[in-house]
Amino acid sequence: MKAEYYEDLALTYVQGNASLEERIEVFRLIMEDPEFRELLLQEVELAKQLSQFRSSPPPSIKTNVYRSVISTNQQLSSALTEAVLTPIYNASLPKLVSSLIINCQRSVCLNG
Amino acid sequence: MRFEEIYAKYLEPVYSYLKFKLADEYLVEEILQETFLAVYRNLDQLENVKSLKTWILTIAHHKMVDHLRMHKLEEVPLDHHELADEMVTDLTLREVLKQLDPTATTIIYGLYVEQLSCQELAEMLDIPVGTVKSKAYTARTKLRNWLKEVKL
Repeated sequence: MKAEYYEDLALTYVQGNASLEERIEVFRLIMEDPEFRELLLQEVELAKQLSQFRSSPPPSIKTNVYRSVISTNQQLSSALTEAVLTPIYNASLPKLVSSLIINCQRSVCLNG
Repeated sequence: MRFEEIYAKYLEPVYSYLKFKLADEYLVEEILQETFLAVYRNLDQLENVKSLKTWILTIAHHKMVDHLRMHKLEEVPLDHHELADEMVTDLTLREVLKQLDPTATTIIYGLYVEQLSCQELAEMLDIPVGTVKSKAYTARTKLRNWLKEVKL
């Protein structure tokens, strides 16, 4: 029970998520309990070692992914509009009006 | 929050997580695109989201699992990653991580690198919190034992 409590407390502290009360408890245990002190040191070292796995995306990926998301979304929107709205306009409006609306709609889609 | 702000803030943690799990840069890029497209198309759900980072990492995790399942691939062993050479104990750490199951490595990564809680990891991995805690306990014990050995 004590081991589990120490583990949870040490990890919460290392994560930077400890509340004021938990931080006070950590400082008390550091002073009073060598077992907790040792555990905390190991947790800090572990976090440091594992942080080496954090990596940043290269600039090319940043640009490619953003462009791809925006253009795919525009294509999907246009395709959806064509597939759903056009048949509705064709069926419900007079021919002349529906072709005007479709042209407006295309121009709106193209302009994003 | 606008998509551009979300993208600027969360691209790095998502990329970093996928890179930790997969070595193939092209696959990482593909899953990133699918993840952020899903985010873009679900911006209206943001008000119901407790933690944006967990939400996006959850999407990325599920996209990755779908990809691996669809193409019958496996997560690339950690020794295929290219990491900083200056970490003397790095290879050994990777060896220890390799001994853990993929869920446990995700839990360790989430706890120590992304500072996620067990509850957030349970939501992300779609498993009970108790399972996250027990897997975390076993993995952390293993990692601390490794640490004791390398420090001797």
